[in-house]
Order: sequence, then C-alpha cells, then structure tokens
Amino acid sequence: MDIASPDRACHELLVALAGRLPDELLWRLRDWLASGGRVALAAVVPRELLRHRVALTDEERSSMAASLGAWGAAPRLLDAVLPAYVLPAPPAFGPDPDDTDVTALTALAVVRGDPGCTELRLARRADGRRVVLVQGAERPWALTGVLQRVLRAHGERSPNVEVLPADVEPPAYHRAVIAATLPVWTREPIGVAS
Amino acid sequence: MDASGAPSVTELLLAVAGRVDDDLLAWARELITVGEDGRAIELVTATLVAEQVALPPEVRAAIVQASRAVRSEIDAARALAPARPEVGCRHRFDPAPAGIAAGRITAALHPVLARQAAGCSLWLTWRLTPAGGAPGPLPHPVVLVELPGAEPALSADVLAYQVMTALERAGTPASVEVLGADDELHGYHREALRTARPVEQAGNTPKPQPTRQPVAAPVAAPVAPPAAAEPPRSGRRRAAGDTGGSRPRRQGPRPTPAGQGGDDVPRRRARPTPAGPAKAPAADAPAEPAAVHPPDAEQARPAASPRPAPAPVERPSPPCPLSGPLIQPLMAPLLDPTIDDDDPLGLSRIGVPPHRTSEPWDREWVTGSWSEQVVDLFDGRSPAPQPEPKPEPEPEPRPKPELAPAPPAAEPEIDAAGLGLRPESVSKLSATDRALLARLQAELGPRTRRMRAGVPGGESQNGRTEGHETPPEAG
Repeated sequence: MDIASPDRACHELLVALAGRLPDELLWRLRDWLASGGRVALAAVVPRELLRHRVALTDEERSSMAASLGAWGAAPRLLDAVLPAYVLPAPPAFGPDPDDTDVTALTALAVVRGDPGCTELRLARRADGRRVVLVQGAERPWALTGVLQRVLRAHGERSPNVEVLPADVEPPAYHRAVIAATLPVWTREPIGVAS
Repeated sequence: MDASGAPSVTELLLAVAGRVDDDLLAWARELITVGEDGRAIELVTATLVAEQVALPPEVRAAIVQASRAVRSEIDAARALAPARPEVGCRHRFDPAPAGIAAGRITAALHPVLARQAAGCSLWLTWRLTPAGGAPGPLPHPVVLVELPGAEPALSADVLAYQVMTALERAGTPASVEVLGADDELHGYHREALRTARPVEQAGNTPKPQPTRQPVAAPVAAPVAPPAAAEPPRSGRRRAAGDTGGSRPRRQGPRPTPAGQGGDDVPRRRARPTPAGPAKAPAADAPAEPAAVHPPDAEQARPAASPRPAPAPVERPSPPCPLSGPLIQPLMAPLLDPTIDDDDPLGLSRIGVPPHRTSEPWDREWVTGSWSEQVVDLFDGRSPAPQPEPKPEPEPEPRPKPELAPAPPAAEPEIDAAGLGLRPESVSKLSATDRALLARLQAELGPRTRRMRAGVPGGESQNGRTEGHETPPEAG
C-alpha cells in the first residue's frame, strides 16, 4: 500500500474501521483528522481499539504505525492492538429511498465541487442509518469532514461518510455498499476523459 | 469541587458547555454517570485539542489538571490552544424561536419534573448559535435544571443523564445543564437563564385559568432576600486559575427573563418552589411521583414555601370531534362481539344450556351421532350420545285429544271386482300390499264410480279403456 502521508494512512485506517467501531465514535475520529487533531487521534484511537477489542490486519496495522505512531502514540498501546485474521462480515445495505432530499442534494453539491470525486452513492444500512459513499477525492479526509458536518447540520447525529481514495481497494464494508446501490452521480476521472 | 480543590468532572463539563458540540457533552455526561470519568475527560480534552478551542485560563487549567489526573495520553498543557479570557458570551438564545414548537419537550419534561427532578426548577430555551466544530441543527433546545439545595436527592450527573434520556426517548434530544446550588454560572448559562422560561410556560402549554393560582411566577413576585431563609453556605474553593469574583454566583442577583420584570430580585427566591408532585400537571404526573425519593431526602428539601403551592395545571380538553350526535354509531355494528361461538343462538339466555356437550364435535361427526341428537328446547335435556345405533324402544303413544283414536288393526276389505282382480289374486298379496290396496281403493272408489256413471263408454281421460288397463290375468 502506498502510504503517501500520515494523514492519508490514518484516513485509510479510519475507513477500514467502518462498521467495526461505534458510529458515534468513528465520525468524531474522522472529524478530528479533518481538523488536524493528530495528537488527539494518537491518544484516543489506540485506546478505543483496545477498549472495543478491534483487531487489525497487517495492512491496517501498517497504516496505524505510519500515522498514529508517527504522531506520538504510545508504542505500548500500539503493540497491544489485537491482530486480525478474519474480518467480521459487513452488514446488509440497500438503496436509499431518500436519495433526493435536501441532505442528499447538499452532499451532491459538495462532492461535485471536489475535482477528484468520481462517484457518489447513497445507501441505507440494515439498521436504517444513511451511508454516503464517495469514490475519489484529492484529500479524502478533508472531504469526509466537510460531508460529516453537512450531514450533522441536517440532523444526522452520527454521520456515516465513507470517502474511498481512488487507488485503494474498497474494504468489504464498502464493497457491500457498492454492490447494493447504484451511483447517484458519476464523473469520469481526471485524465481519463478526453 | 473535590477535597483537593480541583473542579469536579461535572463542573468541567459545565465549563465547556457551548464550546464543544452538544452530542459530545451528552456523551461525556453519560460516561460520568456510569463511572467512566477518565474516558469522558479524555474525549472532551481530545476534542478541545483537535478543534483548538481557546478556553479561559481557569477552564484551561482545570482541563489540564483533570487530564493529568486521569492519566490521559494527551499532554493537554502543550496540546490545548493558548488560553484566552472570555469576554461576554458568544452564544445567543431565544426562548421561543419562530417556527419551533416546544410542546413535545415540555410534555417529555413534565413526568421528569414530577419524579426525578421533583423540587427542581426546569427552564427551557433555544440556542441560536452553533457549538463546537461540527454542530447540529439550530435552534438547539437547552434545558436548564436548577437543583433545589445543597444536597439534592440526585446528583447533577445522574439527573442530567436521566433528563437527557427521557428527552431522547421522547424523540426530542436536547442539551441538559444541571446547575447546583453552589455552582458558579458561566457566561453560557447566565445567558441561557436570562432568556429561559419555566417549563410550565414554555411551548404551547395553555395558561391556567385566572381563578387558579399561577403555576409559575418566576420573577414577578418580590420576596425576601435569600439570606433570610437559606442556611449559610460554606465557602467554596474555586478551580485553579479561577479569577474569583469575576463570575457571579447563584446567590447573588441574577438576570431575569426579559420582559418579566423583577429586576434586582434574586431569581432563586422569586421562582416558585415546586412543592413536590403538586407542581407537575396532574395529567402528566405518574401516580406515585414522590416514591423515588427517600423520606430523608424529602425532608432535606426546603420546607413548605410561604407562598401557596402552585395548583396543577388543568389543560382544557380538546374538543371531541365525535361530540354530539356523531358520538353515537350511525348503524349497529355488523359483528356483535358478544356472540358466543359455543352458543350462537343465545340459548343460554333463555335458560337452555349450550348444545355443546362434553363430547367433542369431531367424534360426533365421525360417528354420525350428530344427526341423531335431539335438543329439547324446553326441558333443556338432550339425549346422551350413543356410539352405536341401537334399536329404539317403542315410544309410548302420547294421547292426542284433538285426533281420533287409531282404529284397531283389522283385515282391510278389498273390492277385487271393482279393481278388476280375481279373489285368488288378492289373496296372494301380502298384508301390507292388501292394506295399501284397500287404502287406495278407498280413496279412488267414489271418483271411479262417478266416472263410470258419467262416461258410458268407459273411456278414461287418457283414451284408454278399462279393459286395456286391467287385462285379464293369464292362467
């Protein structure tokens, strides 16, 4: 995996933790990353992984070391994170019937403004939570923060925003979203269109 | 504040109200309630660090001290934004913003006011300004709970958690700020209290009738100064770095709701003292509102107020849409729910037991005894079912006075000549056949005689002669 920067590595780690950490915590961690709260992430993420007994794959552990480790996380806590051999099955998803409401249109307006975005999908998780999935972004962690705040302003207390970097294989959670939905909006990637 | 002089976690959360998002504050209070103070402080500190919130010096110092106390991984002294003295309150509140109805919130708070928050004063206002880096929708409701005394029945953390949970379950989440009797008021809470309205008056709750005692007269009635009725409070130590004296305390004069008068009157004394369950509306109050408080807690509360206890609010019942003639059904219901499946004819009502006996119906159906059962509608007895049909005994002839008695059995006389039969042929017939033949002849004889007399040719109506009808028997 190409780890260009600690921010990107941390973003990929937080994307991979979708569905494995509580929503009310995960959106906050992503918001801290968008705000530049690296110290906060380095202190809280390892403890929360241990508290919820979330196990990480080798690739995820590399992302954690490249980001949280670089930001001063305690090596003792990083070493204590459990290794994962089999990831939990993703939840069920379905199309979002409210994909044309004000929140969806606002999210679409934000996504269209990012030149790196190529696709927007809206899904509903089995528990009824709305999931916004975006493919491609120049700074995916920053776009995640913006979309989360948009959704919170519209009443989503724990927004589920998943921004997948362009060159990263989607995790199982996001593959399930992609398999269950159709894109609300698409655009040819930059450099592909003539 | 604990024995070491450091502010408690509850006081820390009061100090950061309005500086972080409301969901984080609610989450932290829930964590404190369940005893996870360390996690609560770490989350709040991390959020303040991530969002680089500039805190007043005393609040920043308290956060740093608390973070060290819980052994957080964050070096708050270095990571927090530099302190900045607070000048005024940057938040704005509105007790009744346009387009916002507080009915659901007040309805959810009335049971709380009667039980968990009995003796407390509940206030409601709406914040018009965002709080935190990722605020929720605005206006945001803020519920202010003022504890009645220095030793409330429930601690501020527990009460805040319970009120929050009640509002969450009612589908109306709101921020809940519980203010203790000795808590200092920050600018956030001062501004919120300045605009807040009592829960009884907030929203669309109808005002009581003029003949009744007003439910809440928060600031209008001048009363004696608080020092005359309240026990002297022990001096409280302030948090490290607290400027001391820059923030008014609860005992002093407090700002009053705009437009309600009562300037320079201590708000604590001016507000109505809730007299237990009598303050809550009777319609919303549970049956046993005071049962959750131990007797000593009840006694520890302020004694009966010199003011009369506010009467419960009697909400006018909404007009019934089915009042008047429409309340009567226009037609009888098609299905009578009172019909008994075992007695569809209502035989039991006239003294007849239901047809169903102890034997199941399926056995009757299989054996065919259902077709043999006879129910006497008048004496209520039914013959016992018999698994196999047996020859019935001869029933005793019942006297029938209106009918002539049956003639004794005798050999029927047959006019063989009239029928065109020979006597030996008649003698060969059985007794039953002879009886039938005699009966037939008795019925047809007069008519046959009339036909013979009126029709000389002896031709019948169908064109046949008698000779053809009764051919002579051979042999």
